[in-house]
Amino acid sequence: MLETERLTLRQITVADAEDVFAYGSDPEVTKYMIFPTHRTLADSIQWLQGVPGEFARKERMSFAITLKPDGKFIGSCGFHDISPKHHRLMMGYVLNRNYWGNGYMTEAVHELICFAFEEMSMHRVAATCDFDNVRSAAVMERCGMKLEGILRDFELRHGRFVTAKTYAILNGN
Amino acid sequence: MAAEIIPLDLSRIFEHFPVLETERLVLRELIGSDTEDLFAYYGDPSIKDYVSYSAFKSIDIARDEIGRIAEGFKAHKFVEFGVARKSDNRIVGVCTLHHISPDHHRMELGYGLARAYWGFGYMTEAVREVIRYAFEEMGIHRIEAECETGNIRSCRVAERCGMTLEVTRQENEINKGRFVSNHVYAIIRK
Repeated sequence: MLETERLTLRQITVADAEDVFAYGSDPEVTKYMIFPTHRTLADSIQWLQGVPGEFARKERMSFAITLKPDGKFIGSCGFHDISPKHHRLMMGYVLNRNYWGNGYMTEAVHELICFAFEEMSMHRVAATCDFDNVRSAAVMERCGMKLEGILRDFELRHGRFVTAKTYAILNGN
Repeated sequence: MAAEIIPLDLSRIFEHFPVLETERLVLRELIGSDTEDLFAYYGDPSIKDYVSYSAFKSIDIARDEIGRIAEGFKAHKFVEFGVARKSDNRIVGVCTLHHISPDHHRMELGYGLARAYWGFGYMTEAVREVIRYAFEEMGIHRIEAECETGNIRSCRVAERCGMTLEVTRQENEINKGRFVSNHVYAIIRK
């Protein structure tokens, strides 16, 4: 469990399904995300049910982002493509649209980076965002991440190829 | 309105191991009699100058690798071609289609030649043909190739094949106890 000034990052569970569905079914949120828009609560439940297995196989670590003091769920974040051998991992994050514009995502991402460097022996944290996702790029830049390049037609999302920006930060930079 | 693009169906590709031909080369499945040639490539200790994985310590490992490559094809996971010279059927190197994502019409290309065969243009010739195959026969949209920033020859092959440097991943891997950076090249189907 991680803590920042205003947030708690805790284990995400199936009990969070309705809150996940709230952002997962929002096309304004998912238009830049890699996962397909959740159509029913069952989609959210299915994803959450897979989380413990992904953690056990060391494929993915997913956190719920909650607001202090009452623990209101506002989004999720985590790590994937974790390589202990090369001390590197990828980061992902998403926030319910009602909570955009408060600096919460930057606060959570900054904490994730610190955790990766200080507690997971990571040397490098990388993340991508859709080329047009200026808010996400701004989050990464505020956290000191550097734009490393542009991946053209990187993903097929909602029926079209989309280009991504790729950012990274190194431990000690 | 354009039809929505759906994930690729690659089942046809994995029915029979493909055989590709260029002017001087045949790209084909590796078989038992290729073991020595494969060991000449993967067993060369100087390979560590370019890649982060270790050279094979014995020819038995090369033999096992041929089996592993066959299993990978059977499991529809990756396609690793032996690059054979037409003149004498010797395997001069390998060319691998891996990290294949049917969902995103995307794959990564790996390639390497045994040192004895450098300087003849074999790698460029093989990679050009594999790129054509991936675009025209597999329906792939985007091909990536990654190499250490110091691996100039590998970068040149990518460039000669029409790939563009898109990203430099700083200190992305550990090789010989130090962090090394990777160039990522890519080419998009027209």
